[in-house]
Amino acid sequence: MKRYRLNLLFFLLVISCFTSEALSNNETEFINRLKQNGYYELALHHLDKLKSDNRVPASLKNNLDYERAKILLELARSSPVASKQRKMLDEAGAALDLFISNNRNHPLSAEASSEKGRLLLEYARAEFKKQSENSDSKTPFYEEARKYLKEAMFIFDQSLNLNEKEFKKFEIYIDADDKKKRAERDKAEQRYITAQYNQAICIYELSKTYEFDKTEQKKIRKKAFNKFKDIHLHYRKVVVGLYARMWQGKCYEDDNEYKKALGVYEELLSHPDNSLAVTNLQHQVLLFELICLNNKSLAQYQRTVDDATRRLKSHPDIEKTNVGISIRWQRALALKSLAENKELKESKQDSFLRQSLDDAQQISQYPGTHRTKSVKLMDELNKKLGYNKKAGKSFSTAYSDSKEMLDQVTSLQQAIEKSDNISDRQTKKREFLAHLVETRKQLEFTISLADEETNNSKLNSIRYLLSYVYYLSGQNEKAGVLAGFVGRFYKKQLPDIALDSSYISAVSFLRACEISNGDNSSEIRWAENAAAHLVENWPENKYTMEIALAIGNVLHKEKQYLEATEWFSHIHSDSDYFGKAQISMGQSFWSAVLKSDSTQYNKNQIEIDQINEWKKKAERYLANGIQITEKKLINIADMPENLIVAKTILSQIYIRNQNYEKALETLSEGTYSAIDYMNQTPPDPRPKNGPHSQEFTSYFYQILLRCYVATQQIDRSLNVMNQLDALASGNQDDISAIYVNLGKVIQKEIEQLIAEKKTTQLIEIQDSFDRFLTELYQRRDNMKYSSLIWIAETYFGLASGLKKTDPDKSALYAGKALTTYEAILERDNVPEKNILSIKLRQVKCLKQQDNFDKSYQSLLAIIKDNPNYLDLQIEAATLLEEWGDSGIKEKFLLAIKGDSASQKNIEVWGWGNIAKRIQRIIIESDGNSQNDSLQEKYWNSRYHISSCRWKYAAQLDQIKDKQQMLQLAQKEIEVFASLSDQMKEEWIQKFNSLYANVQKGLNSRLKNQAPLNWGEMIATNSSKTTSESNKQPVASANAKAKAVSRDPETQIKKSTLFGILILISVLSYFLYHYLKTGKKKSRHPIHQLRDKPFKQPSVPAKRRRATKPGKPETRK
Amino acid sequence: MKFIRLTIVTSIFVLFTINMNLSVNAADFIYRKSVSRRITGTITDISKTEIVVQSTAKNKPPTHIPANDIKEIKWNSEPPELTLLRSAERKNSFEKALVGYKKVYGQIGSSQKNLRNDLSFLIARVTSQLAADDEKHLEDAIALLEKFRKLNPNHFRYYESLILLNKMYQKKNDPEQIRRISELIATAPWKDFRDSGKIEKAYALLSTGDADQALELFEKIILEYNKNPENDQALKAILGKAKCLLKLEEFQKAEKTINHLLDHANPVSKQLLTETFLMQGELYRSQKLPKDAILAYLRIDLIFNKDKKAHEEALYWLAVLWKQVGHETRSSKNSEKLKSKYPESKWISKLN
Repeated sequence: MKRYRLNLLFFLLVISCFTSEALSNNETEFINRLKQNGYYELALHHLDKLKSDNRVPASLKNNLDYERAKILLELARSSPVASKQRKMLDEAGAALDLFISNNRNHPLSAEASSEKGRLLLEYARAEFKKQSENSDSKTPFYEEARKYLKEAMFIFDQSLNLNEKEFKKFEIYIDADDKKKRAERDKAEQRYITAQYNQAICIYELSKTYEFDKTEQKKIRKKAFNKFKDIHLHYRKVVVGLYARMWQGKCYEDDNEYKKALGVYEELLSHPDNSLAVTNLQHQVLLFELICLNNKSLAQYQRTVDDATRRLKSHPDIEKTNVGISIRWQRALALKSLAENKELKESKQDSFLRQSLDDAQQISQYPGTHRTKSVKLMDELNKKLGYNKKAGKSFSTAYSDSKEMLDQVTSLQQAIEKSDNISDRQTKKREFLAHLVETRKQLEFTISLADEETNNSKLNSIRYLLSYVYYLSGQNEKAGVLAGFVGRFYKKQLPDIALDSSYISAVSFLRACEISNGDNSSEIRWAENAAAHLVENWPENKYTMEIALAIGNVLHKEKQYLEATEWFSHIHSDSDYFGKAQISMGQSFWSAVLKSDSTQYNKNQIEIDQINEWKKKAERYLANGIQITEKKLINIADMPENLIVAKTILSQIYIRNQNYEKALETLSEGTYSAIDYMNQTPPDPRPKNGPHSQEFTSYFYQILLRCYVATQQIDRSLNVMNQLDALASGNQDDISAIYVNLGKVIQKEIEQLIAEKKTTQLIEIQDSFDRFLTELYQRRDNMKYSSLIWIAETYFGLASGLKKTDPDKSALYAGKALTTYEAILERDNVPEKNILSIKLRQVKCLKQQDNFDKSYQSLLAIIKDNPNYLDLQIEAATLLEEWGDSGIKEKFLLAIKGDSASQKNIEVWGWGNIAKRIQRIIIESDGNSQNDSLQEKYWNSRYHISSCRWKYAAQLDQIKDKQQMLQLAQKEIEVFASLSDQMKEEWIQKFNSLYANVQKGLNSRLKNQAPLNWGEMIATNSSKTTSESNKQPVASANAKAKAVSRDPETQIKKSTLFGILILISVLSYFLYHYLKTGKKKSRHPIHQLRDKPFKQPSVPAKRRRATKPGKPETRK
Repeated sequence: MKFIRLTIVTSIFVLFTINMNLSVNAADFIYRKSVSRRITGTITDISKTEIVVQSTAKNKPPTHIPANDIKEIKWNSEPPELTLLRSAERKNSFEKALVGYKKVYGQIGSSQKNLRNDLSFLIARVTSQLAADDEKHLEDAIALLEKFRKLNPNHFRYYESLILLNKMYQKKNDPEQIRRISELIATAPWKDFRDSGKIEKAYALLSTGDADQALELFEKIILEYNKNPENDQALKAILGKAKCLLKLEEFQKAEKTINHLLDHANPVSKQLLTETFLMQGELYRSQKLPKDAILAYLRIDLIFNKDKKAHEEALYWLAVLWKQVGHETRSSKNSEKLKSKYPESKWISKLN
C-alpha cells in the first residue's frame, strides 16, 4: 500500500514525466523522452504531426490539446527569458481552455482545471523572473504576480473543498475484499492531498510577493509553513509529506534560520527509502541545502563543492535535468567563492576558477534558467583567468606559467617515487593527476594565445610539452598526433624540439598499440611511421635506436618476424642496444623458421633455401648477441634475462643441426653459464615472465635433457628429469605432457634426417637413443613414474619417426614403448586418472606395429567405459582410417559412418557423427571461448570424411563406383568450402590439396582443375587467421573461378552447387531453430556438454596446449 | 676651443637627426614579400602591375616594385592606429580590424586618395576573411571586392582583389563567376597569379562534378612546378588533385597524393594543411579506417583549431568516430566540446 501511494504521488509530483494515459504507450514514451531531454519544441512538433495524422482517432486528438498545454507549461518553466515565458504561458493557457471547453465531461477535465491553477502559478513565477531582471523597478511585478497567485489560490481552494468532500464521502473502514472501493478511496485521497499541497505552495509563493513588506511576508510565510507542517504531520510516510517537509526547510531558510533549515534537509537526505520518488526528492533537497551552504553567512563553499560532486558522481543520470544543472550551478558558484580566498596561492585560486569555468561551460550547453547566468559567469571567469586576451595575458606570460607548472609535474613525479608509504603514495598520485589536468589546461590555453607573431620555437616547445602531458595522461593518440606534427614539420627549423617530439610521438603510438583491444594494425602503422621518421632524420640517435628496438619487439609479438628483423637491423653497432638487438634479431629469424615449419606445406626449393638462410642468420645473430652482451657483464647477478633466452634458443638451433656438443656447450660454457643461472633458487613465487617463469624453466630443462641424452650423460639426464618433476610439483599430467612433446620432437628430428637423407646421423641418433634408453630402462625399478613415461615416449617417438622408412625398426621401438607402458601399469603408484591415457598410448603403440585388430579391440575396451570422450572417438576413427590405409578398404566406410556392430553396446561414432556432434555444440554455444579447439576438431573430422572417401575410391575396382564416390567427396568439399569462413591457413591448404586429388581422380585428363571456391569471407577477410600470402592465391582462385564459370559445364556445376547451398542453408536454418527453440530450448549449451555428446578427456590435447613446447617466442 | 668644437659637432648631429626623422616621417614604407627589408620613399606611380618608388636619397633612381611582391604599404601621413589595425588583422582579429579600418576611412579626407583606395581594399579583404568563417559576410565581401575592382582597375591591389573575389565565388559555389574572374586573373603578368586563377577554375570544374577534367587541369599545373614542388601554387594544385581522386574514389592514389603534399607542405600554410587533414579524414572514413580518420581530425582539433569551420567539422567526426571504435567517453567529450564551443554549429543537429 505504502509503495503504491508513494509511486502514485510521485507520479503526480514529477510533472515533467507526466503524459496523458489516453496516448498510446509508444507515443507517451517518445514524448516523455523528448521532454526529459529538454526537447520541448520537438515534442510540440510531434504533437502537431499527430494532430494532422488521419490515422489518429478524433477522441485522441482532443487529448493532444491537453498534452500540448502541459508541454507549453514545461517549456515556459524552462525559458530563461521572462517575455518569452509569458508568451508560452499564454499559448499553454489557450490550449488548456480549448481542451476544457471541448471536453466538459472528459475524465481529465477536473485535472485540467487544476492544471489551470498551476498555470497561474507559473504566470506568477514569470513575474518574479521579470522582477529579478529589472531589479530597479519595485512593486509592479510583485503586484502582478500576486494577482495571478490569488486567482490560482481561488482555483486551488475550490479544488481542495471539492476533493475533501469527495474523500470524506468514503467510510473510514472499508472491507479489505472490496478492492474497487478501496482503490476509489485511494484515488480520492491522493487528489485531496495534492490539492492541499498545491494550496500550500501557492501561499508560499504569495509570501514572496511581499518582498517590500517584510512583516506581511513573514505572516504569510508562517501560514504556508503551518500548511506544510500539517501535510507533513499527516502524510509523513508518503512522498508528498516529505516534499512538504522540504518546503518547511525552505521557509526556515527564507527566515534566515539556516541551522534549522539544514537540520530539515539533513533529515530528508538521510531518509532510508531509496525508491526513485525519494531519490528525486533528495536531489531537490540537496539543491536547497547547497543554496543554503553557499549563502555568505554560512560560506561553507568546500562542503558545497564536495556534496555537489558526490551527488553528480553517484547520479550521473541527473546531469542534464533541471535539478542536476542547478546543483552544478551551485558548485560553480562555490568554486568561484573558494577562489576569492586571498590567502590561497595564485595557482590554487586559478585551479578553482578553472573548475568553476568548466562547470559554467557545461551548464551553458543546456537550455534553462541557468544558461544566461552561466554565460555571464564564464565571461567573468575568463577575465579573471586572463583567458580573454583583452585582459592582457600574453603568450609569453602564459608560456612562463606553463613552464612553471611543468616543473611541478616533475617534482610531483619524484615525490611519488620517493614515497614509501602506500596511502601517502596514493595521495601524491591523486595530487599528481590533478596537477596534470591543470597543466594540460594551462598549456592548451597558452597555445590558444599564439598568433602570427608568436615565437615559433616557443610555440612548438609548448606543443611538445603538451604532447608530453597528453602522454602522461594516457591520451596517446593526442600525444602522438601533436608531437608527430612538430617532429615532421619543424625538423629543419627546430631540430632539437623536432627530435624530442618525434620520440614522444613514437612512444605514444607504441603505447596505443599495447593497450589497444582487438585489431591494433592501425596503431602499429602509426608507430612504424613515427619510427621511420626518426630513422630517416636521426639515424644514429639514441632515441631512434630505442624506438627501433621497441617497434621490432612489437612486430615480433605480432608474429611479423621478418618485419621485426628489419627494425632490429637499424640499431648501430656502437649503440648500447646493439647486443639486445642482435639477440632479438636472432630470435625473430628463428621464430620465422618455426612459423614456416608449422604453417607451410609442400615447400619448394626456393622456400627451403630461404628458411635455411633464416636458420643461419638466427644462429649468427644469436651467437653475436650473446658474445656482445657477455662482454659487458660484470657478474652473474646482473645477467640480463634475454641472454639466458638467447643461449637456450641457440642451443635448440644446434640440436636441430645435430650439433649436440655445441648445444650443451652453449648452455654450460661462456663467461656466464646458463645452467648455473637456472640452477639458482628462483624467486618465490615464480614470475609469470622471464627465465624463471614456470614455462621458460620447463622449456630450458627440456633442451638441456635433450643435450644430455645426445651426449649419453645418464645421471645428469635423470637429474634434469627430477628438476622437471619438481617444477611440475609432482603434477603427473604436466610431466607426461612434457615427455609426450619431447617424444614428438625426436620424431620430427628423425623425419628431418630422413628427408635430408642424412643416413649416418640417423644411425648415430638411433644408436645413441637405443643405448641410452636401454641403460635407463635397466634402472627402471629405481626410477620415478615420470621418468618411465619419458622412456616410453622416446621409444614411441623413434618408432613414429622411422615408420615410413624402416618399418621393422619402427615396430621394434613401438614394442619397447609398449613394454615400458606395461611396466608402468604394473606399478602401484600410477595415478588413477592417468591410467586411461597410458592405455591409449598402448593402443597407439599397437597401431604403430600395424597390429590393427588388437589395437582396435583395446580401444573398444576403453571406449566401453568412456563412451562420450571425444578424443577417444577421434582416435577410433583415425585407427579405422589407418586400418583402411593398410589395404582393408571397408574400414574407410567404418571410419566415416562409425561402427556399432563390432562389439555389443559399444558405439564408435566415426568421422561423420563426430563432425555432426561438434557442429551442434558450436552452433549452440555461439560465442563460447572453448569453440576454438572444437572448431579445429570439426575441420579435422570434415577433412577426414572426404579424405576417407577419396582413399576408399582409390581402392575400388569398378570405375562407376569409383566415380560415384569421388563425386560425393567433391561435392562434400565444395559445399563445406563455400560455407566456411575464418578457416585457418593450414586447413585451407589441406582441403585444397585433397580437392585437387579428388578432381584428379575424377578426370585425370584435365590439366588444370577448377580451383576450390572458398566462402567469400576468406577471400576478403583481413582476419589474422588467414595470412596475406594465403589470401592471394584464394583470391586469384576466385577470379579464375569466375572465368571458368563462363563455360556451360561449369555453369551446370554452379547451378547444382547453388541448389545444394540453398538446400543446406534452409536445412541449417531449420536445424538451428529446432535446436534453439525445440525441446532443449531452455538448456544452456554448457549443460549439453556436461551430459550428452561427450566429455573432454584430461589427456594430451589440453596438456599440449598448456606446456607450449619448443617455445622460442618466449621473450622478455 | 674644445668646447666650441664639441658644440658644433653636437649641433650638426642633432640637425642631421632631425632632418632624417623629418624625411622618414614624410615617406611611404613599402614592405615586400620577397625581402624582409622595407623600401622607403615616395610612391610616384601606381598601376595594376607595379608601383614606382622614388627613394628619399635624391640621386637614387626610382624603384619599380611588382604588385605581386607588395605585402603592405605604410602610407605617408596615415593615422598611427592603422599600424595597430593591420596587426589585429594579422592576428585574426578581423572584427576589430574591420571596425577600425572603417573608422579611419571615415576620418581621412578625399585628398589622401592612395590611402583611401588602399583602405577600401583592406576593408574588402578583411570582410572576405570574415566570410571565410561566417557566410553571412559573403555577399558583403563580394560586393566590396567587385566595387573595388571596378573602381580601381589600375590599382596595385587589382589582381589580389580578383583572387579574393574568386575565393568568395568559390565559397558561394558560383562556377560561372569563377570562370569569369579566372579569365581576368589569367591576364596577370605573373605566373603565380595566373596559376592561382587556373586552380580556382579547376576547383569550379570539380564543384560542378567534372572531376576528370579538373584532375587534368590540376595535373598540368603540378607538372609545371616539377622542379619546385614546395611552391604554394603547386601545393594547392596537389590538394586539388587529391580532392579529385577522392571524388573519383581512387583512394590509394588520393592517399599517396596527400602524403606527397604533406611531405612538401610548410607548416605556415595553415589553410592548406587544414584542408588536407580534413580531406585525409574523409578519405579514411571512405576506406572504413576509423582510427586513421580520428588521427587526421585530431590534427585539426589540436593544431589547426583556429579555423572554426574546420574545427566544428573535426569535432563532429571525432565524436562520431570515437563512438565507432568503442570510446564512448571520448566521443561525448568531443560532442560536448562542439556544443559548448560552437553552439550555433550546423554539425550539432547531426550528432543525434
